[in-house]
Amino acid sequence: MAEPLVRIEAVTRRFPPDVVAVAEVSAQVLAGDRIALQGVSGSGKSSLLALIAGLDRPDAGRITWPGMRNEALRPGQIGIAFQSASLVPSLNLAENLTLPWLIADRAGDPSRAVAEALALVGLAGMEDRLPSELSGGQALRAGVARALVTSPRLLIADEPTGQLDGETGRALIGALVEWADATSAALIVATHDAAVAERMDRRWHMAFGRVTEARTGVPT
Amino acid sequence: MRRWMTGLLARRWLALATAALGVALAVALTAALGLFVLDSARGMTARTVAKVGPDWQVQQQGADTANALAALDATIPGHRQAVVGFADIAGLSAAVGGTVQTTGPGKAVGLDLSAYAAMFPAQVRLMTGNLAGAVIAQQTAANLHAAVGDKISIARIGADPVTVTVEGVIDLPQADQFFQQVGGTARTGPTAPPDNVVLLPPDAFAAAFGAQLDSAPQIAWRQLHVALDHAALPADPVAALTQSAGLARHFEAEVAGGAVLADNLSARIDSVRQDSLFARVLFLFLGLPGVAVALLLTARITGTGHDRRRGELALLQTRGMANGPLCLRMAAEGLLVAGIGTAAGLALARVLVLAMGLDPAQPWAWGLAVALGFGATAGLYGLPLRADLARTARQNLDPVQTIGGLGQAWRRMGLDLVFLAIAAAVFFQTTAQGYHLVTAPEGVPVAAVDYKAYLAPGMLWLGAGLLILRLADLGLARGRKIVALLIRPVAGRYASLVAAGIVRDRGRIATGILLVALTFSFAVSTSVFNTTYDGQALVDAQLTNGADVAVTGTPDTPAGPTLSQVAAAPGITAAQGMMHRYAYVGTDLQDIYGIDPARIGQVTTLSDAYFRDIGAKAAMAQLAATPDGIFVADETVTDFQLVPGDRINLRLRMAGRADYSVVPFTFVGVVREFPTAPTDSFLVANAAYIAKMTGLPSAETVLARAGGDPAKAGTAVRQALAARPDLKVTDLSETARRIGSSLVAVDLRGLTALETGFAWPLMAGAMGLVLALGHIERRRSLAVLRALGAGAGGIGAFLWGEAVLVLGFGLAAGLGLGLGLAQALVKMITQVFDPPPESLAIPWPLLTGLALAGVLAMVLAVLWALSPPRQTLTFALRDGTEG
Repeated sequence: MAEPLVRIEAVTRRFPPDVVAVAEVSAQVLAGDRIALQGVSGSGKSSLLALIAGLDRPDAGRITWPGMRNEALRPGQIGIAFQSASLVPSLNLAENLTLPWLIADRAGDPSRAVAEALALVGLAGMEDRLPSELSGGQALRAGVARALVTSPRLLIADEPTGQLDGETGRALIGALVEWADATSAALIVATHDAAVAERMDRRWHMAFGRVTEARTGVPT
Repeated sequence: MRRWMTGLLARRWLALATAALGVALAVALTAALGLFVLDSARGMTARTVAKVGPDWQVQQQGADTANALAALDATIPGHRQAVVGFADIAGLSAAVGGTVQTTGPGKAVGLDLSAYAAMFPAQVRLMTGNLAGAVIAQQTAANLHAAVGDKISIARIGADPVTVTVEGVIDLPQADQFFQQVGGTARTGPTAPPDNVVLLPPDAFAAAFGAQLDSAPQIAWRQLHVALDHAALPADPVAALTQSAGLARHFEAEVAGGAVLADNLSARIDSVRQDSLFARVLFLFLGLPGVAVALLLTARITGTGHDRRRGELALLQTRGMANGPLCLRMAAEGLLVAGIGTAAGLALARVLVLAMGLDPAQPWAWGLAVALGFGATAGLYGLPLRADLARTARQNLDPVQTIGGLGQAWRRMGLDLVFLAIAAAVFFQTTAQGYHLVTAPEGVPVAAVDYKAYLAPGMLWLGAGLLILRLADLGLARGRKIVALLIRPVAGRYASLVAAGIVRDRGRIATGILLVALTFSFAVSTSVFNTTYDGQALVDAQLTNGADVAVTGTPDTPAGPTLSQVAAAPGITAAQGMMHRYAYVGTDLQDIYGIDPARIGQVTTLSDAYFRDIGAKAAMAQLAATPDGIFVADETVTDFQLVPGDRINLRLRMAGRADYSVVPFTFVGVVREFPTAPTDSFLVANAAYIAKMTGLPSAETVLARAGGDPAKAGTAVRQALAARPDLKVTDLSETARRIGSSLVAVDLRGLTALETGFAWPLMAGAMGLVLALGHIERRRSLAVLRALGAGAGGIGAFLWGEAVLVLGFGLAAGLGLGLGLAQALVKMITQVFDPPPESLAIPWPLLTGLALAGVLAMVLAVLWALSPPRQTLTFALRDGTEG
């Protein structure tokens, strides 16, 4: 059996003064997984995603990425689309999307990958737009496109449809699933939207920092 | 409200502290500068009144001086006076060498010349003989071909001639003032001094002109030349003028028309009052850009927190707080910054002025600094608050647009070019007319101050500042490829992307370049101006003193024999003798200097400007190659139609003889200035040739170069020559304080130390804060880069690229602007120097150090931004918007 992409072992993350955002969570993310992370606001979804993406470190427990190559996780192997707009305001969309390409030290011209990623999220031809010229929804989609540019093995998207109308949201999720299928990438999507969760194979439910897997009804 | 203030101090202490630091620097610089300026004026008063001859010249209406003396005793405690008689004469004649020379009308003066010279040393310069008997002026001696021992006849008006024997020849350096007409319309004001003057002891004068004094006051009269107690004068020139003029009016009231007064002291103080005002503006002009830079930095700091304050205001507005308490809460931050910053600035200024030995008791300077601290802070916090209060809570929640270029109205109006055009027009007009500090050719010197001239550097500063902003904005907008090329060494493969960001964020980058440029230009202009000014004052002083240390004797008691003692004195590295005698050129008695041209350069600095059509080195080589060669003044060349190679016969005093004998010289060139030489005609020749021809080998003067402080070396020489009180030892430091106009005599070292002292923190602060604040404003973008996986290389590319661009262009623009300002200021006052400066003196080590301080601040700011953040990336990404 192939190694899991991410192995989470009894991971806990606390924030001062006494908030336990993630409480003794154990789980695995396998290649090709489609995971919906659900839970009410403040349940710890974003904190768990940050730990999985390597943006944060646990206070207790261990998180490893055994199925990843021995190189930097982000942005080459893990792509992350943030909950809020996170584009660099002084760079246009093409330049914002080129950033992970350069950070991942990819060779060659990123133009084609940039154009494809923008097209995937429905922003084709908007390469020259500045973030200030986009709506909130467009900026979020641009963030998703940026996460895709390097064709990561794991895409983490934190409420990517939160500011989108239903149709656009569904189209975006559809495109992400298609992209994941095409590239065999794993997908973790934090969402409040049941329709989005329906498109995923696995559903993690978070409450008070703890995760249960909806498919099995038992702790992960 | 108390909780609000406590919360601000607890949670926003860094923002408050940095803003307060900017205010503190501006306040401290203002206070210290004000105190320096006021203190320098005090020094100017003291130096100037020390150079006045008679403070008053009182002319009694009638022959008797008793009334005037009584009025003096009644009104002026502590005064000293000399009675001086004047008489118009029809002429003088002398029978010398078988011919009779006769002059036109002139003046006879009766006074105790030795006592007078002791009371007013600057008035009388003995050239030959002694002061005990009848003495004639230098020009008169030339006119009559008369020397010591000759008999001359004085043609009295309406009486028989009287004959006297010449005992000495003198120069009256302040003859304009000495012979000025006093009293009534006809006798007041400057007139040309007489060419023919004989000075007699009081008894001889009374015997010759007593009858005229009693019966013909229009022909003969007496004056009282009065020395007042200068210690009683206030330090401030304005107050000193008020007091001296009041004293004069008091005296005139006391004599009730029985005498009239020429108030030389008030006239001189009035000139120094003008000088002091000019100097105040000059010093303020040098320092004010520093204050402006400190305030601009503070504005940059407070501007960074504006969005946060708008957000807080919006929250309070949302909760329905009334405008009164709302204003109070929002103004609290400004009040805290003003209070803390002003207090810290005043404390810093006090430490500085005490360390500089300045008098801190100047309420005006402190008051101005406090007003600046609170006024500037009120403007920086109050004006944006006023605009924010006019907006709704919703509007205040929206972030301010932070990227883009500059869109100010001044660009469309071309205000920068207008300012520069005005600066150029005023500058060329001012330099074409010249700035003449001392203008009256006859009578008491007065100052003419052209304040309009300050418009030139003022407009240059404003115009160039705006032009830097325009060019930086324009250059960044159109030069993306060049920017990418420039930053590639530090940005690597990110260069194109970083350049794109810089181009779009060019308004912020251009403002950063401007701040660094203005700060560096402040350091450059002040240090270059001050170095040039100090250096030129030193050249001026060296020209007067001759060398670092000078030992001056007379033909009868030459200093030459003490050469080995002087050379051996501690602190002296080289010593040389120099003859200083007098020679007749035709009928004109001139100073002649005998030197060793091969060695004179070891003890004094000879400027190329001293000689016409030839450099100093070549001139000395020419003299060395021509043993009987001589350099003469321009005037002599014109008078005698000389061409190089011409023979000139001079008459010099020979060994063992009282009269003068002919010595032939060969004319080799024209000399305009020479160490210790007077400003009028003089001669320079080989000492060895003069010694050989006259049989008098001793040098009257010894010049010495000091290895370190000239004052210390001077003291050592004085100690070494303690047994020779007849020799006068002077050093460069005391001469620098004594000579020249009061403006040149101002010691700028304190100002230099003050301004360069502030330049260091301003330079580091400008560079460090500009970058650090930029990083704070873009903290979310940096967090995004981190979240995307960028390491020190990727994030550093953005930080280093921007930093190098801001520092590089800022320093280059600052250097250009600073040099331009210094050149304009030096050019404006060039005529107060003698000789004028040939070029700017640039203190490269200091400027390199300041640039390195900027580099260090840049490195620290970038490393700080690169250091791992305290909060997690998740929180950093959620932390509001940028700006």
